[in-house]
Amino acid sequence: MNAREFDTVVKKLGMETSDTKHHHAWLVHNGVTVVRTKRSHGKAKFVPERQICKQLHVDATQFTGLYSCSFSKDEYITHLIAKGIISKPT
Amino acid sequence: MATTIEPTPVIPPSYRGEVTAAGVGSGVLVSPVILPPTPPMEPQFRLFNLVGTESARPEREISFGALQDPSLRLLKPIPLEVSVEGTDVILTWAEVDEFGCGDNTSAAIDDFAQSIRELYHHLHSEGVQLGSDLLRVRGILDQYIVRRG
Repeated sequence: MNAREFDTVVKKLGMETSDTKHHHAWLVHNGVTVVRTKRSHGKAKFVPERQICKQLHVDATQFTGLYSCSFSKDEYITHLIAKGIISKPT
Repeated sequence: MATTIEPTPVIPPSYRGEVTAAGVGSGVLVSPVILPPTPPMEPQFRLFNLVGTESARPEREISFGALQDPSLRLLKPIPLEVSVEGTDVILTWAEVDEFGCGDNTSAAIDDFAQSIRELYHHLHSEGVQLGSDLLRVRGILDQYIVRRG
């Protein structure tokens, strides 16, 4: 994983971002913050794939799908609901 | 007339006479106690050959206690797994899936300290609604970190 792939996924999921010492990204679903992740500033900086995948609650294959467009945002939300990260809609 | 002083012979201390039944320095000597022979000791450590072995386990763990935020106080050390990927050191707090990384352990500790303070402040921001997983993360953070007075 590199910074460009990280940014692609963040943009695709429509995550809210904030820049402090790190580039933070927050997934807000129906007004509730459900997932967070971050990377260091700088395009050449190391991006630890395993740790970021855990924060996003996906495995490496699903993460690859997120930035290669074979895993859509809707599918990701469904995946988070199945994992109990997002409450089931009533 | 010059007198010759004979050198006083140096007598080595008698350790046998130092500890006696009547007490140290009492002058009452006792026979040394002969202790029974002790069995040979088992080795207290084993050597492992780590060269050439692959392991998914972290190389080591450290306890983090350098929270770089004067508004926060650490209640107990945070256990971090240390791993190395390429030339980068990664510190992971597995319980909350938070990490810090850097060119060396010191840089990774600084990065983790920044990450954890930013995470703490965000999760405690007013008006932020959190999902179940982030509520769990905040609960664990609260076991380790509190705001100062």
